[in-house]
Amino acid sequence: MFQLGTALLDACVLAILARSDTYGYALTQSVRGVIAVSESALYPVLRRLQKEGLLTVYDRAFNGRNRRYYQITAGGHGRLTQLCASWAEFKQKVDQVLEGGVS
Amino acid sequence: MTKDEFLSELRKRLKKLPESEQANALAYYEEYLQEAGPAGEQAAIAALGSPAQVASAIIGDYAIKQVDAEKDTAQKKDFGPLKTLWIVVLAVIASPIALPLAAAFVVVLVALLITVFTLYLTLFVSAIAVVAISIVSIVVAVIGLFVAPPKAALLLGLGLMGIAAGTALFIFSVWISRLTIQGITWLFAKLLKRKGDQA
Repeated sequence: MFQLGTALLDACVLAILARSDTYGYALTQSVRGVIAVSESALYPVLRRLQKEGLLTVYDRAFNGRNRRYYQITAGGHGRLTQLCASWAEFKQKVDQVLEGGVS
Repeated sequence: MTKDEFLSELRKRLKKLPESEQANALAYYEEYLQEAGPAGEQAAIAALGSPAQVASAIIGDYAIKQVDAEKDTAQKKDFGPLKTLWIVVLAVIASPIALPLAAAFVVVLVALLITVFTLYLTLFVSAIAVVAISIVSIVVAVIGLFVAPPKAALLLGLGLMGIAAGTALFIFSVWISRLTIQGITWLFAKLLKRKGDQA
């Protein structure tokens, strides 16, 4: 079963990072453009994904301060593929219900 | 609330986490507020929610991860199940839910803990008593072997069985205690996390 909260958030974060590396603030804004999560919801997700080895971090100087970039790993790509498959299945089931295919 | 006030309040709320976790979270939120810029700082602080809410989201997620990790590596010396339980209890107390609700949580938790651990204490003591009596029986039986061999042999057998049963009971009570602590921690971490997600 697709866990809406956690899995969807993981999937969106990994998908955004699969396109390009980015930093916390920008990532939060991107995710919030799609899912209604609180601004403080992303840090625990990023920390967890990092500990699971699905993403790595590196620091870059920006305007005399630090920006921490998040980068997806090979393991992260693998997880993203799994999540996309679960999402497709979930989406299909919901579509069936919404279109009245299931009594 | 200014950026510095927000960060120092958050620092206070994260005190119970390991040093590296605190540093990481604080660096993240400092960078986050810098990105918002001086103009957007107030809006960003308002959108993040109170430092207490931000902290419970971090601690809740951390505790769940910790419980999972403990399941994987059965023994982890630097960060046992009791420490994790303690962090979660503190987080529940510190979190910005209605006070009566917090009080109810604490009362339920304390009642649970007292009940469960009294039960386990009984198990421990019984196990030790069984082993002790068995040892005495064996000693008596060994002496008695010269006087009344059949009776002594029976007593010896019973004594050995008693040691086996007592040891098994002891191992079981240790195992069930660990499991219960993990279970309670997990439950509270889950409650905390749900609240953090809503925040």
